[in-house]
Amino acid sequence: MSFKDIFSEWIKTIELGKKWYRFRRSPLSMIGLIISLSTVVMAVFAPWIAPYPTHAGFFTDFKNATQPPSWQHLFGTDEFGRDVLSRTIFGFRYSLMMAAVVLTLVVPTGVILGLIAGYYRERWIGKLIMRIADIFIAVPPLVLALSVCSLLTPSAFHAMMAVSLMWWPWYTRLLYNITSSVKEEYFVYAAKVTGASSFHIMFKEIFPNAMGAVLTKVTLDVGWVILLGASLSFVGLGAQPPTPDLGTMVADGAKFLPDYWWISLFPALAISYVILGFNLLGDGIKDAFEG
Amino acid sequence: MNGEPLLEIKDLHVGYKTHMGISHVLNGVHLTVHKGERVGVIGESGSGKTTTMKSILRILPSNAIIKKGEIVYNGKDVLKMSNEELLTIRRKKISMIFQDPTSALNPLFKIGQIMLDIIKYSYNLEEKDAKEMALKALKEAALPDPERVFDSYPFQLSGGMRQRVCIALALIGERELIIADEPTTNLDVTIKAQVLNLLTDLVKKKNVGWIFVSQALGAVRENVDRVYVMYAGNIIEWGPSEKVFSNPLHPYTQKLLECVPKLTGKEFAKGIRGRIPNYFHPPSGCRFHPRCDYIMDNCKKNIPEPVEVEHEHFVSCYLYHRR
Amino acid sequence: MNAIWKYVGKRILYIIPTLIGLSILIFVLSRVLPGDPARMAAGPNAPDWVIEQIRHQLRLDKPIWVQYYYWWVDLFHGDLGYSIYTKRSVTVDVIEYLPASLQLIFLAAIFEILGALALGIIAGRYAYRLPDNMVRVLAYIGISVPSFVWGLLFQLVFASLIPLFPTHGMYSYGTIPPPRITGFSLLDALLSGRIDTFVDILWHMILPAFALSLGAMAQDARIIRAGMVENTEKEHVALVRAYGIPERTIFSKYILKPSLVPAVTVMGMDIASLLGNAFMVELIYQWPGFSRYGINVMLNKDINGIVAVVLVIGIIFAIANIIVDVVVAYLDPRIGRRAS
Repeated sequence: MSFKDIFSEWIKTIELGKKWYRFRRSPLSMIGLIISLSTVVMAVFAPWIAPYPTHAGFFTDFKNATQPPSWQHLFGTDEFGRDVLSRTIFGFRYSLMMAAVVLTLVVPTGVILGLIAGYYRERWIGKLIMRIADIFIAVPPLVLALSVCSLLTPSAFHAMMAVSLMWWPWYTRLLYNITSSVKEEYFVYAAKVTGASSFHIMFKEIFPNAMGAVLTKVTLDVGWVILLGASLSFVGLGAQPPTPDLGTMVADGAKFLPDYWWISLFPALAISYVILGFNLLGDGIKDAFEG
Repeated sequence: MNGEPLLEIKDLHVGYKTHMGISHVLNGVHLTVHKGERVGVIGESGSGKTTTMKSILRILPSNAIIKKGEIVYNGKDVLKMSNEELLTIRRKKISMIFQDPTSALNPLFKIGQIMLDIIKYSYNLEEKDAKEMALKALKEAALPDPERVFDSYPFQLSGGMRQRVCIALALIGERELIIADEPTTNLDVTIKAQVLNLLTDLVKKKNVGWIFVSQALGAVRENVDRVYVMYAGNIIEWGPSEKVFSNPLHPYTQKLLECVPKLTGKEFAKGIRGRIPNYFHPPSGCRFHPRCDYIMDNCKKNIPEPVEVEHEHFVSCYLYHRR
Repeated sequence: MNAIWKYVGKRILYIIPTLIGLSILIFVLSRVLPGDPARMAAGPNAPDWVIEQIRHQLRLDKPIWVQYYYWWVDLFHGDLGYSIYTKRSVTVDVIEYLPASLQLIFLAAIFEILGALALGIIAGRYAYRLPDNMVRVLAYIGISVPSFVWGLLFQLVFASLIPLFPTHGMYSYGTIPPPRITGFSLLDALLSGRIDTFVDILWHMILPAFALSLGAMAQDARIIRAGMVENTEKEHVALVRAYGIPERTIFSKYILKPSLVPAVTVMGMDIASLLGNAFMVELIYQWPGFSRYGINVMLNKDINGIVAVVLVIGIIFAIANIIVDVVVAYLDPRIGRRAS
């Protein structure tokens, strides 16, 4: 039995068509889906979509510096003469990459720890895991992430590591709560009586019940991880210039407020756009699963 | 039946708006209660009993739509009443005991807080007098230590005690009609009888009008004067309790009574084939026809007019039209 | 009441080991992660013996458990360690900067609670109608736009373009700060009878506090609204309606109270977002607070400063969460009593 089997079995049991029908009914969910997909498309095809792909990194053209928005530069240009629109499109790439890396590291770790903690709730191992998770949650995630980033050398990669280190306990908690309650259900007793192994019960009997909640949380978290990453780089402890990171761009442009407002405003709107998209999408998925 | 009618429901149609369309639950319900009369309503879960009862006090959920009908109380239509008149009915005339005492009592307020609020709005009393009235009602509902109950939150009481509190609420003041909507369904088997005896004794003692909605057919048979049988939003048979129970006419009533397990019999209780219809697209004509063993052509087309088969015993079924 | 206090006591007992764990976590991270704070403090051209001296001063030349042991010894003497950024004890820094942050966060919390109540109640009262839809749109905007974007936007619009509010700082130019009595400048201004200074400080706090509050406000408004819509259809509402309690009382008492419980329950998360977002907002408005101090010690790799910042915020967060628990237990009698 592999995770692929669990997944395909789960797909069969959830009646995807019905979920999709429920999801489609709400216009807000559809807007969320469209926004999220559009950011993914921009991130993947950034070099082809951006009008000036070379402007993403080291590039200077002081003659064209701080141009206000025009047909040539829809979002204007920054203090080095770089096209803000192109850099914003590349910004999606960094933001979504951050979310992807963090969630790939965090979700499996957090989920497995949560399953174990919930299943062995009365034993020392369960208590220990939850105690450790509580320690990481004892402080707002941004504060610990900032500290870890500062102790390492600030960079986009270290920001991802720092955020991952802070994020797993939320999944552990989620799975712990679900496992603790599902554990008492009759089908789990039935599996136990038939002699199923703990591993089988945890992953095949209990875990599928948490899939909807995990999927919802992952979707919502794409937005929140992007926000956290942008916050880190806004403060100067995340990705460093000239990386076209949205947070860095906002902080960078803030120096030129109010005169050259477009340098920071458009990347700021772009951050809000991604978060909005994944929030609407996440709410839609949640309603489709719960409704 | 003697006496003047206290409550008369006529041709009531109620539906619910949902995202799947309108569910047409009540399909022309009628019901009459005379002064001091005890009336039973029986039928499967989901047949619209609670919807009918909630219509009387106009406390239906917000997505309910009353499409048609009259609910005449003492000569006035409740559905057309002004807000003040309606409040008077709710405060002084009719009271209701809900099915599930756990969900019917707000968990965040003490019993006393809820009772005082109700009494104050109904009778304009001082705090002290209101409390006295509340304690008297709790005592009447056979609650030991009313002071303690008054000062408790619902979660600190047992299910049976909670329902006694609801009975106490229904007894406050001099009501003319008490509606008991499956008052014992959600209670433990061991206290069902206690609560039911308390309720029936009080109703007899006070000589108030009573609508007793229940699935406990035995309890209904013993404690009411007349009984109405409800199926899928229709009253399909009604009459004096003894006659309906000893000589059920409608095929549904016959089946329903067969469902009761008998201690003496050798057979198991029988069920009824099929289930309550989908209210989004209810069956045409008699709503029971898809489950009926005696189905005729007419059944699918029209709703049968009631026929008085024996004195004051009516049935809505084409089987009795032939005679 | 007694039961509630017992419950609070239990919560405090639970939180203490967590905070000790947090101290170990951040202490170990600050000593183990690569990077040389001593060199950072001494500057790039400092001779080796200077760096050695700083290492010795910070006890970085000793094993980590010894360092941690001495950290506790110092803590019992009221010393959080030497700051290589401010060149003095971190304790002094905390006392100096913390009150400014706390008063800003306190004002933000007031905005958040009032705004969430107003928006949530309006949306719940007029559910599925125009006001509800407007609040829904506002809430989505509030949730999606980061607090630092609000901060910049408000600064741009309400301070630069339309000069209604000051752009940054705590006092207007030329204002002499009130004598330090409590450390909370607002309170100090009041205590020394300087109403104009009080108003001046408050004026400087409006924009940052508002920017800080919006995210949590939007989230809570949605939760209150959802609670009201759910509770309106509850059987217990049908009961009080059946007994003739007027709609106004039903709404403001029997529907509102249960709807507030889930909103208050997530308030702990809101406080987390306020404490975190204060880092960016204080930076934007150059607010002389603890979060801005935190950024400075972080940018300077001041390990004692970083440990102190994390722990102080951890303690504030813990206290705030316990207050939230008390309020929830007060609103919902089932909590705490049932547990015991």
